[in-house]
Amino acid sequence: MTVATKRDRQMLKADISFGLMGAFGIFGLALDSFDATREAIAPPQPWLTAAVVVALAVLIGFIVTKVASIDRQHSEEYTFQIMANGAVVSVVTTLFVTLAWTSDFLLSRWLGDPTSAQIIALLMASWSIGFFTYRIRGVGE
Amino acid sequence: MNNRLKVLRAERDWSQAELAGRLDVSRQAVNAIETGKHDPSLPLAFRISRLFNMPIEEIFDDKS
Repeated sequence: MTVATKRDRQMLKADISFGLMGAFGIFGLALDSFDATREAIAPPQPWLTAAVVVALAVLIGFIVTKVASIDRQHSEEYTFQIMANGAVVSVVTTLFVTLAWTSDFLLSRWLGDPTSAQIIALLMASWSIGFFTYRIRGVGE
Repeated sequence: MNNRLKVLRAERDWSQAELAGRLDVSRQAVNAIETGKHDPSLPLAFRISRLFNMPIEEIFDDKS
């Protein structure tokens, strides 16, 4: 297999992974609205909640993408690359730690379930760790 | 990837900050490229090439 083909396959894998992640994320947000076991502050209206949450996620996602202008014209490539690498570390770390934390078989029985603030804190902390790791180690070959 | 950026900069008596200004990147980016911690994008490699008036392959060497 040539290097170009391997790179093409890596890109395709990333496309598929991010596509699936987006689909599962939106599906999960909608599905979570139907969780009858959660305590609701307002009277539960599952379809409205699902619609609002999905619309908000799509809308805010587009706004952030537009405002951030993360492309070569607007971002400093070295900074952006270490930020992006750190973000990947952050997402994967948050995903696995949250899975372990919420699992009854692993950490949940001792720690209880994480709050949303703890998950956000975990996301920010792991992004920072990833950022500075790449900052020190570098992102070159 | 090896490169001659530090040598070329020193020949012109430019600081990293001065080179960064000419390339429209951060000083940290210049430092990272010089120390092999970051490989520049193709547009940046072309900007470097034009600035030093040399072909890219005379500045960067991928046979490390």
